[in-house]
Amino acid sequence: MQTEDADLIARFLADERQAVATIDDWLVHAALSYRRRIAEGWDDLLQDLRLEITRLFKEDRFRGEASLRTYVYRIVSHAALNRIRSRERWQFTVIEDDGYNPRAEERTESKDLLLRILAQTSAECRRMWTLILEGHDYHEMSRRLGVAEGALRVRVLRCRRRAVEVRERLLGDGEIVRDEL
Amino acid sequence: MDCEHTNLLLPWFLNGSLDADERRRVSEHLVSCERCRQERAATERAGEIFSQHLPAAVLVDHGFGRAAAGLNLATIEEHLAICPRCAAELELVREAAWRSRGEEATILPFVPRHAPPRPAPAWRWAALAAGLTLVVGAGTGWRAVEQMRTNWQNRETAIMVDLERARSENAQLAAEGERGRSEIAQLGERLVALEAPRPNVGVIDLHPRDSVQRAEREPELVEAPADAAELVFLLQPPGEIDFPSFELEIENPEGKRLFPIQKLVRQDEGDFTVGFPTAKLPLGKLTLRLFGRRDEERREIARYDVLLIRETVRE
Repeated sequence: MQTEDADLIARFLADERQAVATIDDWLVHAALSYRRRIAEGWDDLLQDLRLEITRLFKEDRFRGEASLRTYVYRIVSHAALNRIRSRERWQFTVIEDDGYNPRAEERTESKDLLLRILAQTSAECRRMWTLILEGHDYHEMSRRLGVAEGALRVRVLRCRRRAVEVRERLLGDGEIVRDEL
Repeated sequence: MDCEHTNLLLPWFLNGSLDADERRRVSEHLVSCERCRQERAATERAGEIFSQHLPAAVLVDHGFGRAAAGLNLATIEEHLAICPRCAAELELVREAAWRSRGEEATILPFVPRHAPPRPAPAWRWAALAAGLTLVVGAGTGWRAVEQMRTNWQNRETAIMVDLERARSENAQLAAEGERGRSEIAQLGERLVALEAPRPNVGVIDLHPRDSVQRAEREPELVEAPADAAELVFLLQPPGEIDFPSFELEIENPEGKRLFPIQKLVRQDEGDFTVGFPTAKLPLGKLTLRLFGRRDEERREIARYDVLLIRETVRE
């Protein structure tokens, strides 16, 4: 860690005005890239960033592998992306108790594997499933995609089966055959 | 609901968008069907696959030019090629990375003024190493700058496309506005014509069908002047009539009522007058029916027949 970076952190934690202004300027400048996407949550993000940076400095998390400025910009980028994604988070919801008792499966596939499976699906499948995960009903999807409702449901089912087949094959022999759907 | 139908609806059952009736029927089926419950689990696994994105930490590392932990570069690049969302987020990160380097000084190798004329081999190797480091760093920075330039060019192109579209729409609106103004001008001219004095009014004297003044029972042949803007019919009364008010109807040969006229006023000479724009009167036989009205009572008191033809132009 460079001396001046360590010195700046120490002065920041001591609440020295110039050091606080320097770090704050870096935070705002780094977050500008995400301002349009975050919009109304902008002020909240900046406040959260100030708290997060203070916590990281106190815990001595900065190792000096890059400059302190670059470190701050990376922290801001990470927090901003999480803020953007938190608004778009989806999940399949459990509507009601239908007697379904999921086994506690141990997840053997890694993130890398799931991404590789996804890459083997067709663009059409990804597009349809993105709309499903965004919560659209099949009437809206049929209208938007210009596909009859019956055909849409069949195509979605084929995409689902194809994705699961690729997953099973990859977990088995590790080979992937490119999706032809 | 059967298994096939249930299976087809599972994705929307899980995303909560089915209507209440469908949701209830799928739910009831799942309670009693183990096979469809397995299909539901498979649908959840598929949802997990299709919801994959690069973790924020990976995007940040990749955008700042660091090796991303946990994912190999080929997987990252492969995903960025198919995921517009992750690609867009990466551009935001790269912009932040570019900002982080924006004010950093560029270190250039230089030969000190007081450098020995014959540099020692150690210094030469150090300068070479520094230069190579600078070239590699500059290359990385240059790539980032090029990427930013490409991004700005793409944005500029998109803005130009939008501008051209707006210009086209503006031109269409301007043309529609011009057509509207033209129609308003035409309507204004027609209004002026309607309100203007009408020269060359033709006056036609008509006697009742059964009157002794009629020499024949054939409809009176009336020649409408070719240049008459208006025709005025003078309807002679059928003898003594005593009604507080009068009405008139004009019929074509098929008996279709063309012009119902109420509150017809009897003139001092005892006759009735009614005028028509010539263009509004159809040529051919017309029948004028005169009615007297007293309160609710309405009685036909005379009929007038007229054969309207267009006068030929005399040379």
